[in-house]
Amino acid sequence: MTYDMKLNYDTESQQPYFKTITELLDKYEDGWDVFVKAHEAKDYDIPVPRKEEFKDDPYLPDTWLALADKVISIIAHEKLGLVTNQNRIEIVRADQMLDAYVKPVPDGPPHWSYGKRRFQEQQQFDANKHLAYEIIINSNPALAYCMDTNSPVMQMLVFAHASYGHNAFYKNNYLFSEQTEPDIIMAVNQRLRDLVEECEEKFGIEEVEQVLDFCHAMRFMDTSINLNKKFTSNKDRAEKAKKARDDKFLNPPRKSVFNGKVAETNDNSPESRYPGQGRDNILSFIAENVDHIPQWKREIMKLSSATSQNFLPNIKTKVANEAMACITHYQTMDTLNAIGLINADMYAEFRKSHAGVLHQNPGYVIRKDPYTQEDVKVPTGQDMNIYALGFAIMEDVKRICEEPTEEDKRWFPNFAGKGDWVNTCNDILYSSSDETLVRNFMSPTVMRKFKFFMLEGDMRDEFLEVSAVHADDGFMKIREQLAADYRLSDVIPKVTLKDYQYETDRCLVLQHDVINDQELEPKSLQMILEMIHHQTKHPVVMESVNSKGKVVASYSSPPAYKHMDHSPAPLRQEL
Amino acid sequence: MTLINDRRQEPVRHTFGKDKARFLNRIRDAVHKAVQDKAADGPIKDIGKGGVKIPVPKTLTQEPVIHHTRSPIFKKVFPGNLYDVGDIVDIPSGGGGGSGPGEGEGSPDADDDQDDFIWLSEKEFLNIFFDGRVLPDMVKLHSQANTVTERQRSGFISKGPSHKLDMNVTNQKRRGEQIVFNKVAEKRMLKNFAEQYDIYRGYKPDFPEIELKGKKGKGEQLETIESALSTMADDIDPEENGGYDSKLLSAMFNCVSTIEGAVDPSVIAEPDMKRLEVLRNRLPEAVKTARDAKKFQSRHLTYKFDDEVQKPAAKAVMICKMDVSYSMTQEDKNTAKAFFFILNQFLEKNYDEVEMVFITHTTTAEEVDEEEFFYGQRTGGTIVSSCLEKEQEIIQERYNSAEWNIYSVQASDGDNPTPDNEKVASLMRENMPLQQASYFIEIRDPRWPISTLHQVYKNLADELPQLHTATISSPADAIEAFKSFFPVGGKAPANANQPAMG
Repeated sequence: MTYDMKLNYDTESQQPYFKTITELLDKYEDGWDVFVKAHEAKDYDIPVPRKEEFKDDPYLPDTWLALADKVISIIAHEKLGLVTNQNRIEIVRADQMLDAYVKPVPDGPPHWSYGKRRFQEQQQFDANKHLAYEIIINSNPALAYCMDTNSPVMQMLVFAHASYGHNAFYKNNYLFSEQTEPDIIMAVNQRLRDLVEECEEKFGIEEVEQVLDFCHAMRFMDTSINLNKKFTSNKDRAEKAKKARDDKFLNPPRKSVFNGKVAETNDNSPESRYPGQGRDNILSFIAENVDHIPQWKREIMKLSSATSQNFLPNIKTKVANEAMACITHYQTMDTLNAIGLINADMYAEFRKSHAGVLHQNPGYVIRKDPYTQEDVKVPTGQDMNIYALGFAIMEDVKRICEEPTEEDKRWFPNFAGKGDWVNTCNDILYSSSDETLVRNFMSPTVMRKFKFFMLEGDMRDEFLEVSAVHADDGFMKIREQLAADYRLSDVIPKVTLKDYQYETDRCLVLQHDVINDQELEPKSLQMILEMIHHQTKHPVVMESVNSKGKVVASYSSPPAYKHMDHSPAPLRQEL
Repeated sequence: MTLINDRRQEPVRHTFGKDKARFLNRIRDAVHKAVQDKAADGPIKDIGKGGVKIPVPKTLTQEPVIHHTRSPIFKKVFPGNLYDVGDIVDIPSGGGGGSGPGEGEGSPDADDDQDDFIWLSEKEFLNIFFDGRVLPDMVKLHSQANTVTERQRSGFISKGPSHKLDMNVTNQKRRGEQIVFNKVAEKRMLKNFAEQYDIYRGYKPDFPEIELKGKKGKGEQLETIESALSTMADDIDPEENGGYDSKLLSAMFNCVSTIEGAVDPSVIAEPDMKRLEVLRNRLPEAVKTARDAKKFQSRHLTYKFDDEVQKPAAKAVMICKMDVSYSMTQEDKNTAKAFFFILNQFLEKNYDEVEMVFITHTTTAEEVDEEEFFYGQRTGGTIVSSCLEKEQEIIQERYNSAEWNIYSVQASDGDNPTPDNEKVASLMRENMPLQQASYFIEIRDPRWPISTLHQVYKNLADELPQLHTATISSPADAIEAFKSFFPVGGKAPANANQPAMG
């Protein structure tokens, strides 16, 4: 018995979830000692015998793993207020884990790039023997892979982290709930695999492989879901719909001479000719509208597009996603400790892994120069640990809700001292992407804790300058820049469909909007254009356009191709 | 309701077979060329030893994706500040302004000229080196229905026999825990001491208060304790540490022992005394925790997991015959050895068990060991038929041709007295039906005409399909001779296993 144990036992035992857990564990012979026993046996195959009168209840968990999951689900749902999809947990060995690393969805189509990555993963694994504790996939039921070498404590941590933390985030975050389709993603992939295998028999492996190569290369030019979409509440959406209704009532459309039967238009832009097509989604546009593509290729492109889009919001929500998962596992394990389900040893083991995951190396360290014996400051090249950042932000939100300082009240008047941290945290995470989470909710306390500082300069010079540190006037600057580091529009080039010249040579004209003078990498761009040309059999042009609407660079395939302006020159009337 | 699927005991499913095969197929030509180059480069004996790094051109493995070039304008936030505004710092090596998502995915970038590398193990290397070359007649390969069970490494598992223990991973796990448990133990002891101190201070309020709550850093805590200690007494021996290694604990221990000495034990009330006793009794437990942390616990143990694979068993014997008369120089023998080595490697790849028989001959033949075979020197003339007689004897004695696949190789410089040639021909005609294949290599400068002995074998080869001959003069020729004996995609028997890659 140590002082850690049963810290808040008195307050916790008054909570409603405590009653549910008591009711569940009372049906087992070992009662509240199940987890401690498994820990001491170092084994989650340990039997969990039920009392005589509950032997035949089919709804009670049979194994230790299922029981641990059940208890954690009670805490996650009832105490932490999470709403989750159904879970599917797979306990796997190292080789199965490596397999899971490689394919985004287990039943994906065969492709050489997976083979390459499997080789690389195997080599890395052979070199450093390090694997993740878990992987989770955004599907319904949410598929989680957990390593078999995890100890009982780790396994409980991982369940809370992945199957409840990440799962709740996938289900509730606005980007995921509006823009992904977890219910059908598995089925889409199985369909894609079957289609690819059938086509390989009919048309040859190489032909199909080229289509898949093309789909993989197009994955960042295929963002029909609006990655930069802002969060809108239900209220905003209802207001917008009402306004549209009112407008229609006040200014009804003029009655057409075509009597509404024919959609006749003089407008030749792609939107009017191909209504319903997002201009961002170039792969889908090619699959659906570009002429002279065999039907089977169109089908493969559409299904690939659906798969890759399902995983795009992940890129935008790394910090927020891990923040949700970390705070869930931390609160769950803390609660288990407080109500006495795990003992001090188990708690220490949990804190060890928790600290390991959240460890943040500094960007610069002091080292002794081997020759002069002087202290020099050396860059480590370390990036931010997204787990540490996300968890620190949410922990601080919790603290601000409960014990705000004067500074917090000035920075966060909305929720400082509000008290209800569970709902505040959940609301914040469900309506945030990485960028907005950092920009709106990173407090000065967090910045002081990490000792953030900001470097600015030109890489062509030999040095950089420190432009802000974690002091009063640096806070806003640092917060703004850190948010910008997670801004996706700077990372993924914004490419849209400008024109499809279906009347002349069926040339596809793409437009790249230049932000911050960033140029496209020409080699891979040229390869992608060649791929588009190869698939559509028609020319393709990419124009980089700056903010003033001027074309600064132009690429095409075939390389020497010059595209015409779409509309023919006006007929001259000579009198 | 959660579905839990325990897949630990599932056999290894080679789910990535298809993808891996596609990848190898894609880089096949490049790898083949690189493997052949590598094999020709080094000494033949070390072919593929310990794994080989094979360059693969990037054009074959890259997956292009649209991204920005690296922006020269650098603007980034780092943790762990050591600076003030306006300071000048070095450029960090790993950082980059607008790094694109395509980086690290084999996309063409600044280091475009460099190739990717894949690491081939010795087995994989030889597989590719011999790829497509098949044994001439493997009818007997699976004639015996018996199979061998081979164990294959695949991942880790938390339970297993002790010889499968992976010390590297196990030790890593322990080391991590040791650090944490030490910290936990230190915290407990510190708290324990603090409580003892507070109890004593209830009786001696003139002693300074030690407030550790809210002070997170170790340095801050140590400062607090040491400043308190310095006001308490001056005559404290700085070396005195009560057996605690940590500075924090030894300082705290000194505080407690000082105040303990100052308080008269008879003044202390009953409940406080009891509490003090409890606290003192707890200390050894915490010390034990710290000590135990160094030990291995069963939860650290991680075992290698092996999977069982069934394979058909087939046996072969390779009979090496060489002329060791005075006219064969050591250089000639090394050339012959290169050929023996390659053939042996090839046979070992195709058969589960390969036995070697070495016969040397001058005018008489004898069976020797490997060392003697390559480095022993005997004097005298040459009679080739003696060696063939010896071979016949050995086969009849030991190697039943229904059970064994027999391969024989004869290396010679072509010297043989002409009258013996007839006997050689008749002996070969007797021996050949028992053997899978027989190879005769003549070590001689290719500019010279072939010897009469070689001519005899050449004539025999027309009537005996198992017999093959070649002239070689250097180890590189040995590879060429091997290639001519085993053409790529040679006529494979119906039940032969096509050598597979990877």
